[in-house]
Amino acid sequence: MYIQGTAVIQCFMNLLFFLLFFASVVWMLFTDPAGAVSAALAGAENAVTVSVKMLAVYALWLGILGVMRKNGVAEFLSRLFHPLTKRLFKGERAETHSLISQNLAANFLGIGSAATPLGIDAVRLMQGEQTDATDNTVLFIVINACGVQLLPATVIALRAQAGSAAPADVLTPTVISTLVTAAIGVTLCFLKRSARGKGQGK
Amino acid sequence: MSAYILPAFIALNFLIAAIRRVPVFDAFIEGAKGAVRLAAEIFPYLAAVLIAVSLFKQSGLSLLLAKAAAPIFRFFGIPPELTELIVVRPMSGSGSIGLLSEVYRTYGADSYAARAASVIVGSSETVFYVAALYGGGRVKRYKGALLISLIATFAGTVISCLLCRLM
Repeated sequence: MYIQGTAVIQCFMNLLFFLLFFASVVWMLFTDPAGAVSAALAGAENAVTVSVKMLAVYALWLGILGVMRKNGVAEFLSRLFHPLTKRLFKGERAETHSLISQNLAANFLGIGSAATPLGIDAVRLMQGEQTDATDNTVLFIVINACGVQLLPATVIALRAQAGSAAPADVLTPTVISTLVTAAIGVTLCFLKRSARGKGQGK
Repeated sequence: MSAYILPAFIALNFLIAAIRRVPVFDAFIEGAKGAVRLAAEIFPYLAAVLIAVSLFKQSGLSLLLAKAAAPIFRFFGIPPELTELIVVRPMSGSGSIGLLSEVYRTYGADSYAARAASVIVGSSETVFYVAALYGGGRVKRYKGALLISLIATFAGTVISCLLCRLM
């Protein structure tokens, strides 16, 4: 029973991709056959646009990060977050902890664009040659996918533009919500680990 | 306030580098070298996710799913006018920002729906995008990372709506 359950979860990305792609194309075969390919191409074009934008963002932030690595700021940030990352990500090398700490710091500051290259490097180190996500990789992806952002700058700016009387009054509930979401994600990761530990024991 | 964070952060870094006599140009180049390789490695994953999402939205299935899910969402205290936003949120960042502006336009920026939508968008991430990006190239099986992220995000959505009713 449990093995079947994990098999589905392991294939989740494949399953989801198949469902989204196949169902949409089949649906459009009946409703809008002329639009299907152009919709797919629009998505691909969006990927090109985003990638080019990301290239610019990476060039800037990886450059700044290169400076941070040499001037001691990277080391300072990793020492700041070390007590937290040491407990969450057990058994990783110091270099990995440093990347994770910087990633978390960038997320907290709301510089998601700087967080991404750091996060990708951290995953690379945690994975080594493995293609199945390790426990630490799962935890790390979950924390990032739960969006531990403490300053929803874009949303507040949008709301101000839309003529809100107090655009920033969503700040407190947003911070509470984002922290609770991350806490739930982390808890689920550890629950999953202990559930699997019991399953193997039997 | 937030406008000051990034430039101040960058300026501070350069100042510290100058004090410590770090060759900033060399350090910058060394870091930026990785940019092209990174963007190239990520591209196929990004393309796959964005093509699927574009098809899903254009086909109208996302709207249908949102309509079908509305009763479930209502059960959890989520306003039904936000269902499409919640379905799109984990898939597309620009899509959810677009839908958020639409909620502002339709219901007013200070309505309950608009506040709940703001908190939902502000407190969550584009789950599939983050997973594809971070796992890009290395991770073939996510071992539950996606499912856990989605469950936590949905729980966060319910909490966001609750908080907006209380605060």
